[in-house]
Amino acid sequence: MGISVPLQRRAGSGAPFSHAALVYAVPCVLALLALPFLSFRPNRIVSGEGVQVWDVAEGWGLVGTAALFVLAGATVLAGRQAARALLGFLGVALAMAVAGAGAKDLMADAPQFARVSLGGGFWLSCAFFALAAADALMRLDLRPLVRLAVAGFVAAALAAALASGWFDSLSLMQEYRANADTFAAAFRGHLILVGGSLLPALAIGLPLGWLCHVSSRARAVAVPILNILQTTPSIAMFGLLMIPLAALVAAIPELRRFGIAGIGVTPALIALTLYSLLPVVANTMAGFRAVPVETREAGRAMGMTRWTLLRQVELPLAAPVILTGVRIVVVQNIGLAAVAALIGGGGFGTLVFRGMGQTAMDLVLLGTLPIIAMAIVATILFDAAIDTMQRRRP
Amino acid sequence: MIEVRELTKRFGDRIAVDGISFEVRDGCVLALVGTSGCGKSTTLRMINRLVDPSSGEVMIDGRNALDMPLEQLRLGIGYVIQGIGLFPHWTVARNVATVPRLMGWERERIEARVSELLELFQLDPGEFAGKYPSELSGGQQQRVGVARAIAAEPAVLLMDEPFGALDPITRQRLQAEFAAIQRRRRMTVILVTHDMDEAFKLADTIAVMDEGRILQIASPEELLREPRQGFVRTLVGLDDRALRILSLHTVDEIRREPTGRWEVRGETLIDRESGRAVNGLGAGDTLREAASRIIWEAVETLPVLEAGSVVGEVRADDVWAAGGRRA
Repeated sequence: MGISVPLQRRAGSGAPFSHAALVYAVPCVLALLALPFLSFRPNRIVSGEGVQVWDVAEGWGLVGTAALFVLAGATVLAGRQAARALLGFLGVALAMAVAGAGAKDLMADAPQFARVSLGGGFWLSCAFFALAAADALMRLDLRPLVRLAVAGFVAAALAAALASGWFDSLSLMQEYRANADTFAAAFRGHLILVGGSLLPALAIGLPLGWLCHVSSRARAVAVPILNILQTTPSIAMFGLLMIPLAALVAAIPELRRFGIAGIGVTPALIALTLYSLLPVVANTMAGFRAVPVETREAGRAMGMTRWTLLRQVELPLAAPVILTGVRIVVVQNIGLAAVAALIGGGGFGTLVFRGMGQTAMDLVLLGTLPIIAMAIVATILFDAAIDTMQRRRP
Repeated sequence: MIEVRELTKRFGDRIAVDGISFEVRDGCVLALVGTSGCGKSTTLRMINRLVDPSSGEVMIDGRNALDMPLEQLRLGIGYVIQGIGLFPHWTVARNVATVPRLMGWERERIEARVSELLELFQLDPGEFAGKYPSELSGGQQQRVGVARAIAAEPAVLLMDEPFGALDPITRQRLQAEFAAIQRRRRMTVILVTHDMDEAFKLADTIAVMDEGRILQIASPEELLREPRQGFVRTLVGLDDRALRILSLHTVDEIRREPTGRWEVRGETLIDRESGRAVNGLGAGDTLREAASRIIWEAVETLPVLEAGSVVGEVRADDVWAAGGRRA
């Protein structure tokens, strides 16, 4: 969202027809036509039977289908990007409403263990409506605060919709109700993994990045090591950390009292921290390198100490680039933290792996969707912060 | 007062600055002139110790610069560079306030000083104080750069190709502005430039450098009248030296009492001998301008005007004598 495309923005603002919007509208319609919107299953585990969008619930199906097609077409024909964004969000809302109503209808006279899951038609049409909205918002090039307001409004609307009970017949919501405690614990665990790895990563990465900026020798040693760390597969990394940590705890049993163990949160936090180092260090170096030589020399010549120069000139000028690195790390770790569940590290991965063990795809989704949501929220927040920082000095 | 004694800088085997000495009296401008790589910038940067001398001494107001704490030394020395080096994340006002803030001035004093300086450099504080460097033209940025350098009234001002990155018209205007400010403020300045005209315009003393040595150090007029053989002569250029000498002097220096031949009729000035209307010279005009006008008007004498009345006259012979070889 932080990227602006001036040429296209200009062309898009008044054009009656958007070729870009076609990219989203056509697959959206094709998905609705070709793929089932919902799937009805006799019980939680077996695969189900598809229901096309026009077949869902009495009355909802045909009207809903027609309305979805009209909305998809309207995103192409809308004259303004703001209208396109609104139509995109309406498309998502309508698809969700149809799905909720359809699920309620299917479950009304179904056997006790029957389940209704969301089908490919629903997911793809929702995704393309959302992409159309996001694309239009990006071209609007809104100010950071306005963007945050839009994001907040969408999040609030989504939360209200989920709380309304409209979707309670969906298997996904049934899984949520059955696993509410685990879900809350997984959310907390995920935040701990991401936050707990970010702090040490910054505490180590920022000074290390600065050191690599000023000393070519430090750079020559540190960067290759961090590169190797970054390319180590995550499962291998978790596994490799278990051995020394288990040995450490065996040697000093006292450590157990601080929650340190060969498996669990500790190795997960260490692994995520190690993965965070390269982006933080690389962006810190890039940020400092981008400070103009003359600016630095002017500061020195004017009598600034090294520390004053760093604090007042170099850090503020490098901050947007460094923050971009932090954003990369946070989004990356939100995804990687899912794997931590494999070694008992907690987080939403717990739900994912439990769902895979039970071949309950909706439980897998219950773990996956919040991870995606967290990544999107983090991206929006960081982009707004970075943008604010850069707009302050045109 | 700056005294530089036997200052030398070696980079490995290469000698960048080779035992040079000079002094700059309070309120004077010294220009270090030479081609790229002659050691003039290195010399300048040894004075505020951006470059550490290999040997030699720099005395500023009797204190050895090499013995002073680095930051304290630099707080007392203004510095202007070609790339300007304004802080892009700070407003114009904050940029100008850099050194006063480092020195811990009070806020009111800083604000007053910033406004004073912006006005001095013809930047309306109301309009420019809150702007960021990227919103300024090159000339405006350079003015802010100079204002920032002299904000805390440093004992010494070092300028490294200060106007080099500007277009010729902006450069000349800023040179004139700086000369006017210098006439009022009498700062002690060392100016590095490769532009001989800039040196003639701004400096009281010019040191011509080549391969790390000073070949000749003299007043502009002396340099024009008696340039050493070789490099100095090439750099100074002898073709138009008479005109250059004339541009070092003003009409005021050779004006005579006015005779009765000038008559003011309303807005115009009439030469009674020829009956033609003439434009008078200003007392502050250079003799170069006077010579040009005399040639153009094909006259022997021009009146000197001050506030609309004739205060003197300038004769062509006197102008030619001022620019010519001395007996």
